[in-house]
Amino acid sequence: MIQNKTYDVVIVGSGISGAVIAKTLTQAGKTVLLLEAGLTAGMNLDRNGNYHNYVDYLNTFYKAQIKVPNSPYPNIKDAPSINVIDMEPITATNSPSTVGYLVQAGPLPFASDCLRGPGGTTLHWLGSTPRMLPNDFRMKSLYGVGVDWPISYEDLMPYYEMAELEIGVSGDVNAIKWPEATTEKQQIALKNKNYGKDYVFPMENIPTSYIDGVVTGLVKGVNNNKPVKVNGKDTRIGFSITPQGRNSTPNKKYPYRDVIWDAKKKKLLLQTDKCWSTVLNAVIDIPKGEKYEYLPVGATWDPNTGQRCEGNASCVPICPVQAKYNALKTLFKSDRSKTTIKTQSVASRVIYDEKSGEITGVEYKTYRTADSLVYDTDIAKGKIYVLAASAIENAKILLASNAANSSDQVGRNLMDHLCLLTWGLLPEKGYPYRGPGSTTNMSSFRDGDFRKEHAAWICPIDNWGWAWPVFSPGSDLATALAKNIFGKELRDLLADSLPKQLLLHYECEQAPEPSNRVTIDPNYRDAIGNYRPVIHYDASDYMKKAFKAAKEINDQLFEAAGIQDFTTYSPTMAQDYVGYEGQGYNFWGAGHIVGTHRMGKSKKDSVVNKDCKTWDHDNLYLVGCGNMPTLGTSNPTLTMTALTFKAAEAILKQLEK
Amino acid sequence: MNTPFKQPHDPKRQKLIPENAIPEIKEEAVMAVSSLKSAKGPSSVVFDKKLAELKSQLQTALELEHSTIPPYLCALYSIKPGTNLTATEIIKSVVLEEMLHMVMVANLLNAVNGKPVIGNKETGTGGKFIPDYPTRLPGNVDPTLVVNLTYFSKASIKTFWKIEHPEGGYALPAEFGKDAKAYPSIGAFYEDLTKNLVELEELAQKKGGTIFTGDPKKQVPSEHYYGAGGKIITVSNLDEAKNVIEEIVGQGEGTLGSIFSEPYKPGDPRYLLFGSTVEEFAHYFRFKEIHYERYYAPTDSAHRLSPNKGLPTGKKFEVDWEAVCKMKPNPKMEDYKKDSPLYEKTYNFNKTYSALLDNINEACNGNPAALKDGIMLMYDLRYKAVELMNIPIGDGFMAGPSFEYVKG
Repeated sequence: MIQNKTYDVVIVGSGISGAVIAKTLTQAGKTVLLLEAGLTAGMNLDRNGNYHNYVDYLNTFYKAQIKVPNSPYPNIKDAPSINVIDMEPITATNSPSTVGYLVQAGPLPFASDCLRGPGGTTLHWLGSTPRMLPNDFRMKSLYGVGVDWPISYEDLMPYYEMAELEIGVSGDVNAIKWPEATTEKQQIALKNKNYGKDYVFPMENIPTSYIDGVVTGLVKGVNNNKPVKVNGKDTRIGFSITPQGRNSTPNKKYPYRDVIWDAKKKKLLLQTDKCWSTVLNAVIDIPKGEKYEYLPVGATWDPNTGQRCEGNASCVPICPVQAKYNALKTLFKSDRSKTTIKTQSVASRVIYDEKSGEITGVEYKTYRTADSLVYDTDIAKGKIYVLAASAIENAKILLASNAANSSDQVGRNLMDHLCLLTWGLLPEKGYPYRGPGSTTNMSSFRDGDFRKEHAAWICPIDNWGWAWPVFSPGSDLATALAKNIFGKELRDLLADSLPKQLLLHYECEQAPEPSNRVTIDPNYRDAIGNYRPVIHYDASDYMKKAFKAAKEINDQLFEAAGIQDFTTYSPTMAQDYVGYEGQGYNFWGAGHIVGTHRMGKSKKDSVVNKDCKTWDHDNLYLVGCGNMPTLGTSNPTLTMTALTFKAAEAILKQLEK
Repeated sequence: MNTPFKQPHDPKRQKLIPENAIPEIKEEAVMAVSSLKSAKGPSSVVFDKKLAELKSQLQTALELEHSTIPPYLCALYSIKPGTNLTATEIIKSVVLEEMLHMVMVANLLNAVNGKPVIGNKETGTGGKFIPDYPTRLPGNVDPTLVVNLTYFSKASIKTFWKIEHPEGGYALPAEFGKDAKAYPSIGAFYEDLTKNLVELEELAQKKGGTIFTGDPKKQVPSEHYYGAGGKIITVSNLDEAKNVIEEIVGQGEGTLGSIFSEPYKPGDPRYLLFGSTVEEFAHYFRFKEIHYERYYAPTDSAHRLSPNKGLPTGKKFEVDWEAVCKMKPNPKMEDYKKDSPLYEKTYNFNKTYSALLDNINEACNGNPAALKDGIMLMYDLRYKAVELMNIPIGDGFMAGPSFEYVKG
């Protein structure tokens, strides 16, 4: 093996957390080696090549029979991605289920996927960026469930602001409704406390979709006339706008230009008078008094494309104009002279000195071409190592290395939002598909004393008809054709029913369970000899109770609002089916894969400290959703990005010690 | 590694108009000034006349910028979906920049307190806003050139690069320009416009005023205009006005004007305009790339007398000249029987196009926020044009959009 260059930092993975680390560190003058498992084509830094590759993704998506989140992107045998198509119910005869990349040991199949490739899962994410609630960080002390975080919401606030700049968040801070606020005065006080009095997002709110107005209008009627009863008490249902990482009109009041390392203060700071110039590869000072307006970050092949969301309504799996944020936008802002990227390079394990615990290298396999069985093994060397390969892959790499696991927590506490879907026909046309996937959410049940009994949930108003549970509109057409309906009758039928389709999904916060976990087994390996993750997964009564509570509220709401219910649950409706108190429920995965290497106050029961550094290895950091001790009811990307900025700051401090 | 492209205002970006293109104005050299001095009546009469002429010239600029959009759109819409990716992207980027130019010219016209007229001119008596294709370019720009509404082909691409820069360089046959002022190129037209702007502003400043007296609220800002061709420039003074013109000419022909008027000097760095670090090449060069089915290489020279003869020698890309809906050139509504389906479809297309022009007109006359309603019309326009282009009308031709103004 040849002697390799030693970089300041070796990063595994080019998704959002890897990209944030690479950008922040190289802009602070550090050299970085980035290992990416996916194809070289996806990392095309040339403008024309980049565009052509993206058009390939788009065409693959347009032609795909089943348009699941990973449908536009290549699935490589050398670095396979999880695909929701590969899920199947686990029975006595097929345990473990091995049809897909995951080895599903059950008892329930894990129903979420992510993308292994340049840019990671941000290529297919929806883009919702709500923050976690302050109480989400104290689940154990407030509700006796799971664990508390080692940091508070207030600790994370400055990093949330950095994440909101990096992703480019659109939203109206004042229209985010706090579940505990019952008066306008409380609402304003909570906003001032949790966001700061003058805080605004970089861009103004994405206009809420037409269907949001129809649904909130109906619910207002229900609240006024026949409020739903929860535990016998009249309960009013409230809605909030959903902040999101897609481009909209710049907010003139937004002051920040960049997040830049301040070497004197040893801090990452949001800057108003400095910015990074991608042309000069340097931090430049802004002349005093120069007028500033946040500039939305456009497509990676053309800064003028994707300056605003165009409402193409295919955010998941792919935004055709890249108005939606993806991690390559961040990665392309790295100091290119200090960034080395190795693609088609799959990390298999970390190597460490048994005595000191110091990591001495990352072993990786570089495959020649897609699906090739030929690969070269090499060792990447750095002063500090960062695993940013997703919650499941991070855990897998650590288990394969027998590293960072003195707590026995690596791979444990795997979590997701368990989505209870409900669908019906609105009494009037709501015209789904006008705009992004969701712009408003039901926020009332994100927090409350009920969390002692069952999981909390957020419930977005979905904007894509019944596509998720029953594959509308294709299935509507197929059903009508099978009934021999055609011509004008067919057109009238579809024109009358499709615009009335409403889907809600109750995203229930999964509590951490040590038995929900990723393990490895030498019997299950991929094409180039790396471990396949083995998943052990179940839904506890805490979750099932939430399904029951959510469904009861939903049934009352549908009834009172005149929404004709078409929801059915059965063992064949979806792969995950559970029974509770005589009722069956299906749940679907949210794609929020969280919690496999949680942070904590002590090395006894956690894998990393509050700076995302492993307790066991002084030069190994883990970034990504795996760090989250509990999930809250927020889509996790924003919180994960905030934590990653915190980690980047700690790494810089350590390097400059 | 290099950044893929440069941002606006980056000093290393192509210098669009050379520093010396606009001569410093000496007072005695300015006809307007001398006429002002000799004028017997109040000097403001001459000034007002000159200003009115300037506004009229700016309205012509608006029409000039618009006149290229329908031909570019016909070529773009005629390409069969999923084919000719690179050509599609190039033509799309050019047409977006033409739209940007049009709205920036409107900003310029509003800045000097003029009134941009887009589209609805057709309903008055002042002549047409949409040219009657086949047409010469408005403003007597390169009168040797005839522009058609037709499909994507080597011939139409050649016409496009001639629009952006004339084949014969700056020489114009003597027979033109006898009756009215004629310009050999769009660049020359704007050079004249710049001269007039500078003259008038100097005059106005001498009198303690300015020609930039328009209502700032009528400017279309980047908040409302985005995602098409670059960042829009609002105009409130001479420098910003010059920026607008520099951007327009630069995106069209680049440094071509200045370097072609000089003999070839081997090694002159100004010829090296290409490569992945350049944010965008001028339209002229981008059309050459399509025609020759190759990208420019970073080492290519733009000069016609260079070893590569100013032609692209970089990576090849595929152009499928046959993957095209061959619309019959220059269709008109009157070609079809009234109430026939083709008439209806052509009429409906025109209704959408007219509504789009009306929308831009509204936006450029005090209601910039109206532009957001134009986005849906732009999508609709494409659907309607593509539908026409898929209807065979005999002789191997397809129907096509006619781009005529109709009152909806």
